[in-house]
Amino acid sequence: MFWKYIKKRLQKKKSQPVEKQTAARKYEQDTGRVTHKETQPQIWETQFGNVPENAKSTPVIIGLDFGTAFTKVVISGAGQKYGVPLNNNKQGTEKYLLPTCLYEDSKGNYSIENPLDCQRFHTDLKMQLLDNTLDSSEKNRIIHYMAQVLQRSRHWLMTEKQNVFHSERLLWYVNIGLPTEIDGDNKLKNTYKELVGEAWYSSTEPHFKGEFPNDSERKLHPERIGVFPEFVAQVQGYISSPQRKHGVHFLVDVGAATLDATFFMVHRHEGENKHPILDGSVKKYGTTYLVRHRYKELGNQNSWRPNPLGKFPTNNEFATGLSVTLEEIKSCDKKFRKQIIDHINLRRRNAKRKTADIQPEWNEGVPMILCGGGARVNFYREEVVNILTEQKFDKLNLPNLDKLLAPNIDGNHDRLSVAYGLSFDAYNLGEISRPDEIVPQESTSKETCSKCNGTGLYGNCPRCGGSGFVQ
Amino acid sequence: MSDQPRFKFKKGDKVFRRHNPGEIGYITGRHNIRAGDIWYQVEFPRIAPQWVLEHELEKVDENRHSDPFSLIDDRIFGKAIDLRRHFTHIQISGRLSNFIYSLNTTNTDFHPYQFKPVLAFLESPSNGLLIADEVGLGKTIEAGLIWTELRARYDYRRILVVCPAMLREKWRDELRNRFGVEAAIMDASELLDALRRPSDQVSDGKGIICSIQGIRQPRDWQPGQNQSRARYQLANLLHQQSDNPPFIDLVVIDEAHYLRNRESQSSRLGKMLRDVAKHIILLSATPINLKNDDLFSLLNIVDQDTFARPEFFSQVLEANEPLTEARRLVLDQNVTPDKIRKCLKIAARHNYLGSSQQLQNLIAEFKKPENVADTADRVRIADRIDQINLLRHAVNRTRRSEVNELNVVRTPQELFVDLDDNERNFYDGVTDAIKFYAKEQDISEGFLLANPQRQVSSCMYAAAKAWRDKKYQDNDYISKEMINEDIGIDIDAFRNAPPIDDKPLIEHLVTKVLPSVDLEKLRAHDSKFNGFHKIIRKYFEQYPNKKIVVFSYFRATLDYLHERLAEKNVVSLVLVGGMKESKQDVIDQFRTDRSIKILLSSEVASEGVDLQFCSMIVNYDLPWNPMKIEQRIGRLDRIGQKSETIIIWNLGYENSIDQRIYERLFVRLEIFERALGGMEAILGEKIKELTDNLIKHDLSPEQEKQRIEQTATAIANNRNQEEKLEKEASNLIAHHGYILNKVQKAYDLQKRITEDDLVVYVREYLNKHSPGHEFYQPDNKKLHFHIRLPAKTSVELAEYVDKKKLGGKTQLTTGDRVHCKFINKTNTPTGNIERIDQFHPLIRFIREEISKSEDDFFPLVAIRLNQEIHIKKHILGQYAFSIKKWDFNGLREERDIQIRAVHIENNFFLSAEDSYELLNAARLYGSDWTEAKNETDLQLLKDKIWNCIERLKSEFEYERNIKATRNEDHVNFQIQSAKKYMDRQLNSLQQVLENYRSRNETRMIPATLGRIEKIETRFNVQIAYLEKKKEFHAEDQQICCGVLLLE
Repeated sequence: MFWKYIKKRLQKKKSQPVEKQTAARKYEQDTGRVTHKETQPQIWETQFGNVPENAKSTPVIIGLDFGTAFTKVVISGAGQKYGVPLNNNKQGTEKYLLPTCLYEDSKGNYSIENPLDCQRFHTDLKMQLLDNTLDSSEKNRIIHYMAQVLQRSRHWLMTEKQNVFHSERLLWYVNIGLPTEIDGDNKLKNTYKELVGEAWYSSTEPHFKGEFPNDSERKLHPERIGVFPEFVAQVQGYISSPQRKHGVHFLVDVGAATLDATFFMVHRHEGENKHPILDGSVKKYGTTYLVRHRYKELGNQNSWRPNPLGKFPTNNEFATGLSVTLEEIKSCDKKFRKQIIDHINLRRRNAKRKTADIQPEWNEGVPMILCGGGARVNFYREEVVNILTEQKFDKLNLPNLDKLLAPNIDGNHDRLSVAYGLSFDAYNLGEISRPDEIVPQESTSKETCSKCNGTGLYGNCPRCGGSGFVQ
Repeated sequence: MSDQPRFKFKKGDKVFRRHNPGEIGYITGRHNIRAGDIWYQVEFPRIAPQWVLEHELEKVDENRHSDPFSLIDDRIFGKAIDLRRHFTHIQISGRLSNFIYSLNTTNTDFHPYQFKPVLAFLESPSNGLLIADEVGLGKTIEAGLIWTELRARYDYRRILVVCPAMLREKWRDELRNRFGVEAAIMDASELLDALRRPSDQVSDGKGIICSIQGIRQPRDWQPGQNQSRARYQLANLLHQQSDNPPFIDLVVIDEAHYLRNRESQSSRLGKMLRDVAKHIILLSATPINLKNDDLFSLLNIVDQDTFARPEFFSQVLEANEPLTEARRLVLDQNVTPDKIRKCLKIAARHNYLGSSQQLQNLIAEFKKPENVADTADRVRIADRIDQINLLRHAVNRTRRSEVNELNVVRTPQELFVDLDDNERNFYDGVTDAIKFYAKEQDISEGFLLANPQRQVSSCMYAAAKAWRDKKYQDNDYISKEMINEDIGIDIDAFRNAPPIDDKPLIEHLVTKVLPSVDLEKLRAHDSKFNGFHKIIRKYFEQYPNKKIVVFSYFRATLDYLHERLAEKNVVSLVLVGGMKESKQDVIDQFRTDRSIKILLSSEVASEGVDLQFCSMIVNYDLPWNPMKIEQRIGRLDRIGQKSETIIIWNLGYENSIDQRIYERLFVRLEIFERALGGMEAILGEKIKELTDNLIKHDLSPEQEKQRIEQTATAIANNRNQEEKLEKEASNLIAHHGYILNKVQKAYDLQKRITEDDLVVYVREYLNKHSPGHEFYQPDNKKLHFHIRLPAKTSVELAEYVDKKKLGGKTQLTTGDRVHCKFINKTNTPTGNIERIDQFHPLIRFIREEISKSEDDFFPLVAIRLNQEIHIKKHILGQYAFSIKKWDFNGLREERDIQIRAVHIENNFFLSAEDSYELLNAARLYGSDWTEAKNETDLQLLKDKIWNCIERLKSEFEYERNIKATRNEDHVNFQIQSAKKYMDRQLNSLQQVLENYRSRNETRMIPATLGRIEKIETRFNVQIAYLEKKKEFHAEDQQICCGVLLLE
């Protein structure tokens, strides 16, 4: 049902993409001056053509959020974070969301654009990857998809931000997100890494049609490919902000299918960011299952169905659609809510066992972060959260991603939060450590030295003698 | 691959990221190698260590890092935040001289003229100002704005408002609702307690309101007199403190004309308060002219030293004359510099201006004609001449004719009803009986005779009933006082005179007239009321939602009207003196209760009350003094009146004295159509004469007409003369045109603290100094935030709040999450949400913390700004700019932000205002322009930045010279003032000493000698301080420069 709907939408005649006018072009038009003459880079190129010998190198990190339904990319470089408009056919927020869907034309060519002679399309790329049952053609399709996304992202940066980067040598990095793992699923991690490596390799081939010539020049060094849990990326905006707190946190990521509950620590040890996962699970409590639950409980007589691509209906809309009262909906939700709360409490008990002695948050209130598309749905945002708030959870609002440059995203920055987090470099994303590595934080009774702002000036601060703290 | 990596940086190196050069960090010594690239761990202040790729890092070269030109060579530009951080702090620090911190931050509408006194006051060397605006222009608001400005700039706490008793509630409400100041109404004993508390114990946002009568020293008070009564003790306290540094920050004396008699106790109180106040404001609609002794008396309180004797005043004006002429000439492009120079030289010959360095400099400048080449130069010089004007900041006078916003048309209507036989019989009977009584008893008191006559003219039935029932005789003191004033008798004299007994006269009327009158018939057929009822019925038919104000002198009339209106189902409210509710409460009820259609008011509502929400007024009885009429109309015809027309109904009886006065005096003088200005004193005299004639002499209607016309002619002549004098005097007083310009510019350029400023300020501070805080904006279109401070910051804030007595103003000290709204308007209701304005403890705390720290600021930035959203008038393209901070320290501390921007492509220099506007928008809304290093011609950029720096440098030199000479003049002026003050004090003490010696009261001699010594010591300290202030320091500090892309 859902995918039929998508297909219908995607097969609609495509509107002409609106050409984005860069500041540089606008300036050139207005003033008649040409700021920079550069031949347009080709889509497979990874460096500008005329970079001088002594050019400085600058890291450019592609944060690739390979989602079940949509793929999003944020690139960081030159101190900025750019949302990449992968979907030129759309406007506003949708411009940044590329359906995770690969089209196949009559000749067997794959494309992330819907071709006129589209024969087939593949929408379950990520699910196949997660199931760990990839056959070679499935693998091939994933590589095709990723390669085209990488190409498009790279090309966007090298054309639209040419004036920022053209005189520098680009050091490319790619980070990709992985659903939460507890036991360190290295197999899946390695598969991801391998696929990204191959996709990169394909993306630098001028005319690739499913063949992958072996050319080491075009390879991305494996150490430049990072695979990170999505939850770390999700909260990276917060962890890297001055608003972050140390200690236990609880993340609830509500997606269309799953509810991802993770207890983790924000932790700094010997100057390094560490985020040990205390406990976590992925359960089928997402919005689709909420709808399913309601049908099951309230009867399925009515033909009304919510639009899978539209906004999640309000309780009133549900009540009208299913011809029931609001009270009936609320009472049927109770059972579903209880399952979620019980599940979360179970995870909490597990997590608490590991740190009860040293983390005061268990008594004072664990900061709780609610995110994902489902976080906008009243049932999760209000009803689930309200009960959790009564149970020593303290809802924390993630800071706005002010630094993300994504024009016309209209306040929907959070849709790119995972890609945003992935665009941090691997070291700064923080290490995922085992719970037994947790040690108590440094005492906060000392005051930070105001002379050196806590840095100690490496032993040279006259006020604190280099400790960074004063008693 | 066997090569050992070569590390470019070592532990402890001071480094920055190429793309964020404003943040400086240190290499921790840890590194990682990945894919052959070296990553260093770098510790940046107060945030977690970051891993940075070697290629991204640069070592800090102190010389190059602080030099914008080297940075351009290195193609390193700072970010938008680097501009924002420093610039915002300087603005919020509260000391910028070209900022108006009270602008748009109070609950008042913006009227540029109301800020004229604010700026005049800030520049006043005597720290005093007489605000002598004409009625209806909002003098209260002007005083409130001044207080807001002083609070923002200097964190002042103690304000004392002294006003007539009946205005206390109005002041309390105005201060609360418009300016967010909670003021308490106090009597002498409470004031005494409050003033005994040390100044640093006074909480923020509080105030004190007292009545003049309530705190005035008793007539028999002598300094040091040991009396337990509070007013004696208060007088002693003020007297003792006059030798010490001032301990009240601002004293405001409203309706200051009550202090005009220099011998009165009120005037004495004014002087005593002046001596203990840092600043003083007098509010009075007193006209300004050279011959006005009242004006001099008030200036004498504002600045006792400059206006010590009446002749000083005329000398000051005399000295000003050639200056004002020179100013006029400067603004006339056809006048040659030589002619202006001659005029200035004449000015310099006057004793008072001979030592003015500013004047000497101006004269010298005129030797070079190129200094006055264009209009801009001439305007600048005209302003400088204004600055020399000796009266420049002692008086502020705005006239209604100068205020464009006041263009309400006044439409007078009259109804003089025909009397029926019964009414005519009663009216004539009373008039004859009064004349007979006066003649027989040989009585000359105008009031005694006028009162019953006026009562009858007001309402016959009410008057007759009141006399018969002997009601209202003793307790209607206020209306008697008002009538007295109406007929020109001095209130002070009336109050001090023994009470006049009008009972015999009333008794006479009761026995002679009442028996022949049918009271019930008077009520049943009341021609005046019937006429009145018709008028209001018609008005309400046309305007069902409007309200009417009806004035009468007499409580009996008002009660009668209330009763009769109720019979006609019209709800009204009576407002008279001595009610349980305060005047303001009654007016608030009238304004807000939709069912109440009419306010029936005695004269209590004719002073200091705002009734702009009505546009019709009925004078149920007619005052004879045109000033009284003006006062009544002035309640409606004032700033804030939304209606284009005000209807003024005047009621009376056909063929009565009232009618003759109305037609011969008021209509001829166009009393209703145009405001009178301040002719109170003259009018009072003329009206007294007229009343005496009309009441005491047995005049025929014809004779009465003649007398009235004589008075009308005399008043008209006086008025013309007054107008002429006022015009002359206004010319002699500083023009203030430059101040108005400054206000308008400040408004246009938003030179005030905006909500966006406050958000940026708090956010940047918390980001940098408070790890673990919350600063969450649920909806980026609204200025609502959830803020939670981490424990350390909340404790520091709590300590600050405690130290500064700011308790009860914030919940952020609890460390809980607080829902806040940034809104820089005092007292705008925000419900349960905490309002953050410029006075909020968090803002003050941050200000103090940043001032203590030694943050470095990055000197070169590249920023982009969207023209369509933020700043439409400038042409697109790239601008080079330079921003400087100028500090001038002498007697006054002045700080300025000065900016110059030039369009790189067409070499067009923006004016100082336009440059400011552009960069201020960039500060608030600009974003990083990362492409700048590749999109800009760097060599050209360097040239243009250099041009901006040079321009600013020469402007700085110019300002420094002007300010240095002005400082010298001010210091000299203050030294002279201090000397005069000391001489005055010493002379008076010497006299006291002589008296003691001559009376042989040796016991008091040592104490007096002690006081003399104390005064001399204080003088010496003050002189030493002033001499030190002669050393003028000026500093020109580069804040940053850079390139801006307006796209």
